Amino acid sequence: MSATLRPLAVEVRDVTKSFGGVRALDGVSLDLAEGEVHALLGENGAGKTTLSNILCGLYRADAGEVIVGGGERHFQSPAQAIEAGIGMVHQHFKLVNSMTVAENLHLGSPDTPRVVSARALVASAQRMMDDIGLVVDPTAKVWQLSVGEQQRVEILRVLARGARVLILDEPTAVLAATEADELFAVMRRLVAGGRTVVFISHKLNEVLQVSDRISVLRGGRHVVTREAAGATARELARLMTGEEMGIEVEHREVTGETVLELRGVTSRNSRGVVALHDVDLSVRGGEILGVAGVSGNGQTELAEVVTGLRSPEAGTITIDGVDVSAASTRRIADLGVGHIPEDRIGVGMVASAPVKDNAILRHYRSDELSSKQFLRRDRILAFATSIVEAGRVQTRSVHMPAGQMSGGNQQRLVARRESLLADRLLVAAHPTRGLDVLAAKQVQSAIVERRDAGCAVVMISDDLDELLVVADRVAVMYEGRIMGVFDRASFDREHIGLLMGGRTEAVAG
Amino acid sequence: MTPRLERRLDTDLRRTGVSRLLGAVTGLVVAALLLVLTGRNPVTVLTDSLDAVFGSKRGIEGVAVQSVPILMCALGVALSLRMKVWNIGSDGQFLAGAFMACGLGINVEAPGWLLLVMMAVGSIVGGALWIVVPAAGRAHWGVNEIITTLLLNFVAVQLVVWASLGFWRDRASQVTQSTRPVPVTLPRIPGFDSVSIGFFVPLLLAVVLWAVFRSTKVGYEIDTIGGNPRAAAFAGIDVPRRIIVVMLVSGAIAGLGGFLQLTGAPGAQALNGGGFSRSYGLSGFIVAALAGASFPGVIVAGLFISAMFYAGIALQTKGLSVYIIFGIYGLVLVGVAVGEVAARYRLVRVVAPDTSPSIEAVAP
Amino acid sequence: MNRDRRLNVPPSMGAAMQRRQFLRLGALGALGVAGASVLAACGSDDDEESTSTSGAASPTTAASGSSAAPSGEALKVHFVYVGPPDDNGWTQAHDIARQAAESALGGAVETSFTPNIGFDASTTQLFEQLVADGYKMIVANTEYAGLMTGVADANPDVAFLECNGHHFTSNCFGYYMAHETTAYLMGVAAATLGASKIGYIGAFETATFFNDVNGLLLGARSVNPEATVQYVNVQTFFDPQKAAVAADALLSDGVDFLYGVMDEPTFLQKAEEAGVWTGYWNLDFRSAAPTKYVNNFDLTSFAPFYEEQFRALVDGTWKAPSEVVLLECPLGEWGPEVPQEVKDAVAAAAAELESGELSVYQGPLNDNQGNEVVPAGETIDALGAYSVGFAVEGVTGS
Repeated sequence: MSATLRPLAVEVRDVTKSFGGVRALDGVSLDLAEGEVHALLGENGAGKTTLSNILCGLYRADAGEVIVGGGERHFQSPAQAIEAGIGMVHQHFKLVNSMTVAENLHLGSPDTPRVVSARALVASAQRMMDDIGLVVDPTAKVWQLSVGEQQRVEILRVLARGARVLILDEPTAVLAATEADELFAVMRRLVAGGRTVVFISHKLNEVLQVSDRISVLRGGRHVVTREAAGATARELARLMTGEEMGIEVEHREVTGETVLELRGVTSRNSRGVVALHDVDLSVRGGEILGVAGVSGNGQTELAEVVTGLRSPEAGTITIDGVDVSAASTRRIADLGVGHIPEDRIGVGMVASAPVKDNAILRHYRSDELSSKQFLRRDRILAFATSIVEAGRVQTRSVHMPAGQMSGGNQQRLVARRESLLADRLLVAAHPTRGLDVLAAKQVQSAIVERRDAGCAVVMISDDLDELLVVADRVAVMYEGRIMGVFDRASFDREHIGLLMGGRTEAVAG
Repeated sequence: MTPRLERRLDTDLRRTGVSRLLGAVTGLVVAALLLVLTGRNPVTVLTDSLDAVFGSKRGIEGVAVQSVPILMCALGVALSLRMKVWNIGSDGQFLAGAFMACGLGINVEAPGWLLLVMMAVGSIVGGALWIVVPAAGRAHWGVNEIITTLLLNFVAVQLVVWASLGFWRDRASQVTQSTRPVPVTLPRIPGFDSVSIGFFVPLLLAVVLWAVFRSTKVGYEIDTIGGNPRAAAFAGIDVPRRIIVVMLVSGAIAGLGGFLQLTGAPGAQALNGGGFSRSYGLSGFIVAALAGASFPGVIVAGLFISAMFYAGIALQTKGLSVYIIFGIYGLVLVGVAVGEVAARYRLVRVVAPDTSPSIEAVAP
Repeated sequence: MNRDRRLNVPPSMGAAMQRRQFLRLGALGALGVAGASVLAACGSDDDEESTSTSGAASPTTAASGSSAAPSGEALKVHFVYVGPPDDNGWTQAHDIARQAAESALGGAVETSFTPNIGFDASTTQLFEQLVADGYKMIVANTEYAGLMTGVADANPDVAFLECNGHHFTSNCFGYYMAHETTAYLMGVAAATLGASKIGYIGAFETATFFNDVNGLLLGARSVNPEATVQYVNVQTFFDPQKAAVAADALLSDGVDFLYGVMDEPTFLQKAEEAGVWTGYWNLDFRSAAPTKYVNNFDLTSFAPFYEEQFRALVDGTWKAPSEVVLLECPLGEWGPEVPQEVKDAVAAAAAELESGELSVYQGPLNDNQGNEVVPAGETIDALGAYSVGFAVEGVTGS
């Protein structure tokens, strides 16, 4: 069935939006039909997020029209948009961390009674989840959830408010393959019920897999809208970037000394639950160890214990033979360990501080940038500029607050900064999450470059395809345990996928 | 075309400055209108104020004397504010500093200069001690420092009342509610009648703090903690330790302010009930907030408020009610605060629909 | 010079503190409710009262004409008040006296005042400002001590009067009132009414406080040797809530007479409700306790004192006394239900005090720690009482 024959849910006509003289959207027109998954595809900065923000009432267009249900609408706020049935799930969640899932689902909803018991909230939340088919423990506090789980809560919350048009901004960026499949099933169910899902992504395979139609944006302009059926990833990538996609990585025999070694490492997460069970791992110089797994299975804690942000409860961790089990973040960084943290805004950056201050966050103590108690301001400027240039960070100025850059550029800044620190070991947690094809390729190349310089790399990702291309070996994590470690010769997509789901018996059989 | 506000993505110091100035002027205009409503001539009030401050050397000196305790408290508050720690207790720290300085001054026999040094050190210790518990609570157990520092203000007032009515009361001179005056004072600035060399302390301190935050690792670390404590920990900064040290220094600065007041301000050489501090901590907090925790800004805003307070004295003797004076100050400060916020927004015009079709259809 | 015994009034320092806290709120509120505060000020007559020069004086000025016509310009006198001039108490008493004295001088003196002045260094700046403004006499209605005396010492040609002050120089002196005698008469009245356990709501432990409780107890014991005084100090002169709590506590402890130095009549109402006799200190407040009101201190002797000071200034004969001037402070009007025998007993005691055959502090007296403070056969005169620092045996409280 052709999507264009369905009734229109939303029409966008010649929408233009500028920020400080830069045109983020330039006369974009497209239709969203009822009952379709409509992918918005584009690089970082192509205008996908700006368009979504206009649709959901966060921004107002400078010019052009948004027509919903036959009438032109100018939303003053997200509340008005949701009233008109348009809701958005943002890349950065807007949940109250100290509240439970059930409380978050009811927060701000006009349907929530003024006085209500916690039990009634949980029951009502459970009903919502059953209806929609996305399940999260309704009594858990949001801060205790993994990023993937938090996203489910966010989606649930928007749907609970009666959204007919659901905008998902890079939803799979934080999900593992199996979680993504679940999400796709939900999306299909929603459109089967007549709703519209706007799916913002740059993972071409996913877009092809789940979408009915695809609109490509580039540089704030609408390039094309076409049926997903019959489209190819290569063609879409060209439309998006004008370049060929994919990184080619050369894999040679690893000959370096062992850099990182974990022996019997056990650790608890912030909830006090054991998140790492007796983990043994070793990584050699010049080697990329990929860590695959569904998000929330101990990868975050693994990165944290290795980099000193979390203390192991048992076991030993050594870096170049030095026991760092109880060492501080600072001491470990001084050994030449870089860390691209999973939560780059929450942990890796000071959003309110200038780009230059963020560039030196992990380097300011070095002799190059400071002497005794004093910072060397001229060198800092040069250093920050070099990071921005080498990391291809697009920013108007190094004096601009880093939080004002796009998410991709923030990621590039952190990635470049940590790579510089990583003489011996780089721990990269989801380093390409949220990046478009081109930017991801740059970050992957940078990581491979570190490896080729003799650095050991632990690369955590829930994108198995990425790991299978980039990593020299892949370790699979499930519920805090290492389910197996595979070298390139024994890479088996299906086998690894099953292990990620905890299915060892199927392997045995 | 519908105008609406949109948040700016960038910040511009000059625009912020102009916006604040416009806000202050707007506040003055509103105050003037209210004065007219009460049957007073706002021009006279303004010229009286300007005359009080700039009309004589005594006016300039008066502002300088007024400014010292306010600036010291404001610098302490601004320092902790750089770390997003809200020290509401600088009034208490100021009093604790004065308490220590007074106790040493009236109970210890020592040569004048040595006694002054001891009193200064004592006031620093006193101010720091007064924030030890809030600092430890905040750094290690996440206890809200707003509440703890605020509560200690009341304790400090009681301590000073107790001292001046009880254990340090000046029984020899029979004064009802006062300690003996301290026997030593800071020298006056040559050529000035009432301004002691203590006036230079907040100015120098502001320069030092400005330099620390501009050019040192410590300053960078404090700003980083203020921006994102988790990122600071990620950068290897010992966040709890830094919080404690910064809060202690913040309290110590206010405490030193107590010493400067006790040994520098004419007439204030004794503790007298809770009246020793004219809510300097609160004024300091307003100053620090207005200045956006910028140290040069603290000096500018602090001198501005001190001038307003000093002009208030002359206005009061000319019969303007203290409530009206505070009202005028309030309007000016609100104006500045609004200007500060306004600088972060801009007015944009958006093409809007003339009327929605449905309304047109039902219109008679 | 000891002009007279009589009663006295607390030194208002605490009131100052209380009001200062109010001002503090004012400064805070300045941000939040600036407009409201100005509007409120417009609505009330705060601004009017604070100006007050001769224009505010009563229209009888011209008629009084008792004084010589002014030669040339009027001499400027300024009053610095610790509270507002309509505080139903201390400052109001001074302000009434100021206006009366100005009227009596028939234009030879022009007075003005500044209200709500606290105890920080800016008060010194205020006194300096007043000197610069050309005031020839400056009157403070509370003891500002070092905040004022430094300015006085630096300006020997300006007269400084400090109520409850302790600084005596060629141009500065203190004046006050003998509190203990009025309290003694109140104690006589209480005991004659049958009270044996007198409740007292105080503010701070100052000489005034001691004279109050000692006078009450010694007066009551002159009638009933078993009488006691129980006090609660609430560290303020104006806080209806604290006063109410203190009154409730004392009443539930079974006091049968309730007196206090509060600047508001909450405790009078509490006593009326409990059916307990009660007295006020600085103003006639019979309305607050219609059936149980006994009496109050009468502060009207400020007016003749100020008049005398103004006149000396105008005549060029002004000279600062070398010791505290203690003013008369009798009891005022009796409550409607007070029996004649009480009035007679008090009149008799007053006459004995007046003639000198009776002294409030008549030895032997022990303080409430058991130490002998006045040996047998000795007394403390009014001047000595001005600096008394003990509570006599029979006084308990906190």
